[in-house]
Amino acid sequence: MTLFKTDGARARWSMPLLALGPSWAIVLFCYLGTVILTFRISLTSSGMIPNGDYVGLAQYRKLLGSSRWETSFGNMLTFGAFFLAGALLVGTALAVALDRGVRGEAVFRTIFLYPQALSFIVTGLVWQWLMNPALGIQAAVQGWGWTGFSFDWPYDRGMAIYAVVLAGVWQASGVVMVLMLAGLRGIDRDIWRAARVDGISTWRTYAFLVLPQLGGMLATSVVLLSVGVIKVYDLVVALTGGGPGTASDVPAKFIMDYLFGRQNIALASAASIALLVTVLAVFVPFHYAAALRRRAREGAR
Amino acid sequence: MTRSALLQRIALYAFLLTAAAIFGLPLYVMVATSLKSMPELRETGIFALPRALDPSAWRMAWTGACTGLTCGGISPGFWNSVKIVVPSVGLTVLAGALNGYAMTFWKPPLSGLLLGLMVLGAFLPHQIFLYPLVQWLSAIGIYQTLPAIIVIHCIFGIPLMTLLFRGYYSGLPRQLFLAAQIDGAGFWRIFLCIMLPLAAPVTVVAVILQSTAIWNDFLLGLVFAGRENLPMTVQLNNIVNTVTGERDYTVDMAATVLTALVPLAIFLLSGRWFVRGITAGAVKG
Amino acid sequence: MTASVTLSGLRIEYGHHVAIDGLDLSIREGEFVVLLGPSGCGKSTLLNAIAGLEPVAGGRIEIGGADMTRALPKDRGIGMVFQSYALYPHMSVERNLSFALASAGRPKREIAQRVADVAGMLQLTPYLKRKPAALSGGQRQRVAIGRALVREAAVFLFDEPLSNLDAKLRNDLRVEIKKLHQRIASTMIYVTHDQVEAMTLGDRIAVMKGGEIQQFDTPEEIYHRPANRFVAEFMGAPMMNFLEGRIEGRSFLWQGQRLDLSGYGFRTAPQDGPAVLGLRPEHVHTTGPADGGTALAAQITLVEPMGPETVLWAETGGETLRIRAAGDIHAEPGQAAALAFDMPRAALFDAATGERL
Repeated sequence: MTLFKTDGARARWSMPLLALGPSWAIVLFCYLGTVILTFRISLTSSGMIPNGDYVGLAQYRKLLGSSRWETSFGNMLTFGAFFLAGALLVGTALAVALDRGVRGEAVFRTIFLYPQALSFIVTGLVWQWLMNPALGIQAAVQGWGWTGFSFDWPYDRGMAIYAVVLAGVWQASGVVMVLMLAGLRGIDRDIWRAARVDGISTWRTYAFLVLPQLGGMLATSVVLLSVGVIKVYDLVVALTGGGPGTASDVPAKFIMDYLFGRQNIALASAASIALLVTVLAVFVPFHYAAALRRRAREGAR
Repeated sequence: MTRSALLQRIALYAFLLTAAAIFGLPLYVMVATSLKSMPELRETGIFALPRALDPSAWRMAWTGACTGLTCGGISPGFWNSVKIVVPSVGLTVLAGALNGYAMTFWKPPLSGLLLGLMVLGAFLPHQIFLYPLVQWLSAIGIYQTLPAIIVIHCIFGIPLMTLLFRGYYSGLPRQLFLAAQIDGAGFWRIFLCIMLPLAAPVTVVAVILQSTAIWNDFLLGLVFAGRENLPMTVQLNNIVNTVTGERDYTVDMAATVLTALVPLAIFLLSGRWFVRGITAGAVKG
Repeated sequence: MTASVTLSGLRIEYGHHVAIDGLDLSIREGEFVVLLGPSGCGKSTLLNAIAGLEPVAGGRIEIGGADMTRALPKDRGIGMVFQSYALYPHMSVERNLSFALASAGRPKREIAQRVADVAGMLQLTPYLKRKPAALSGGQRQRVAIGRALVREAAVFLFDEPLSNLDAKLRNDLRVEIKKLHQRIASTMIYVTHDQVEAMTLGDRIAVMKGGEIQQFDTPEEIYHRPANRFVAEFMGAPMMNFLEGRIEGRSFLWQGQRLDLSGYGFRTAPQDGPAVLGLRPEHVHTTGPADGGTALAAQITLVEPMGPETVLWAETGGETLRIRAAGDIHAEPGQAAALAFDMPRAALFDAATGERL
């Protein structure tokens, strides 16, 4: 098949294609090309620099047998579940509260949203400070008399990943709030008048009539937060450094450590490919289902 | 107002004020700590108001704090970040506008596929692509230089910018583009005289979104910028998480506040534009 | 400036879908031609192809005798007025008008002169410094037309320019466009789905359906002698009445009635068999119950007074007929009526193909 049917088409598309050239280069070389090279390295025994010594899937066996990878991957799932649930819950609650017509809405919105403007490094360091056992919230509360109070999650093997969740929810809830509030404001106001005429309580109106209409915004929020989950790295580095030990390690940090710290680029590459496959395994069916649904909807019209 | 409605109202404000206090607390503690001295901090704890506005921790953080080997404070990082952000934002926004324009109006073959791959790539963790990029940049001799980090920000920043502008341009009437063709304007003239000026609102959003994102970047700066050009976030993490001797938490927090200052200022000054950036980027995604 | 437009064997494809296949159309210099049809009939596609905004897969487009099939839009000597007007919102009226000339690299003095001329002609001079957002609907449309005038276009293309406006403004601007055509005598091709615009504006109307021209003729011919059932249905409100029956000899048999066809102008000698009789509402008359004669007994079911006329719905033999009656008629639902058909002005269609007989 030729790309261009006519001379006119060739003339018409030469400039647009030229303009999109750099982006094609980015996609073909920097995205697809690097993934192929990464995959190739993952099949070798490379250490600090790539070597041509192919060892098949040995690195993948090593990866799956590694307890650190298991911890990292498990942490990503834990973080993902609690971070998503937390941010969605808090964000939606804030949006509903602001939607009730409160005074100073703009001020509240600013306070709930400002963490979004911060770097994960800043967020991580602030929460590390707040959860500092010697001088942070724990010390202050103990000073008020609750001597049994403990809030030192980053230094507790079992709780370290939840420290990351807490900081993440604090930073990301504002976005969910903004999206949900936009969704709430977009809903037909007559619903409220109809509900009041029918004598339905405010709470029931939200639960059964209003929130179910926010499916689109909910999906958007989930996608946005999920991207944050698979990318989570900076926050862990700043807040716990992956510790104590490797208790709060995540895949993205695992990859970085083996790439640049431990000089085992083959294992790091195998981990990269494993992460990629995981993401695609979730994303592709999701995307396919969405496309099918869209087609069905268009077909029905 | 009935009694129950009044109670509902009180509960609503109680909820919002509590939430606001929790959300605001970290910022307050960060700023309050930075204005204290270590002895005062030990004595009064993190919640107390500072006794006096003592800027010594700020001065120390700006010019004297140690980042690993050197003790020049975080100010070099500030200027490095400026040097990285300005060209990177300019290039990514311009490229995003051009891409969005070309894809929306000219629709050259396979541009849907291109956009799909760009978005997919932008949503994946950067770590997957890093090592070969390091190799290539080393091969052409610019690894760990200012140009390298700018190029890398373009590679990972253009997709979202393209998405943003494409979303905006698809909302414009296509007849505008047809009229410009009738008027004899070509690809570049339509872009420069009509579509770029028309995209002024989304350009503001794009600049806000992108300068915040690049200022806040840590990973790419860490890997690609090189020791001479480390951005502020990397330097901040080095100052705080590289323990040499006794930790001075007041200086740590001062450095943290300083790093947060630029994006916070952008956020507070841009107001609704910032919000629009979040929702636009999200909804179109 | 004026030019003829000739399309021959035109073919337009979208991927594997053929939108227009082998279309011929010949438009004379200075003629006002309306492309009329329901949405999706290919009329806008055709207009875009003439403008050069739609790539052509086959056939030939000639403007002013020159082959323009592959020419760029700007080289075709055309101007185009869009449904949304497509004024550049960030430019003043003056810059909107001058943009094409500046793109062509004309000298500044010439541009200023031509913009001033056109602005004067369209009474836009006081608004030259304004942005489109600060103009009324009518002024915007004049700027859109001015953009075509400035380029001294030989052919004006209108893509549903009135369909976004309210009824009052639409009537005013329709008159403006007609006056403009009388004044400048350029060729005009006008796309619409509104039959009133088509009837009032067009020297000739091309009625389109499914990418094909069903009939290309004067408004009178199209209304009174529709080429097929589709054209008959599409033109005229209230819609034509269609009666399914048989032709036998010189008569049309319907519901046991024998209607006389001796006054009907057949295209070819009629053959006996099933056919459809088309009657415009104004060609069905109520004769009143007392008149007697060959009238059909019917019962009025609905009365719609429109002011200058009244539309009656009457039932006879299980069919409902629409009747255009005088505005001052006194009729009520349930009332009996006798109907008479104006047979010489009826239209007969083939029952299978829908073609006019």
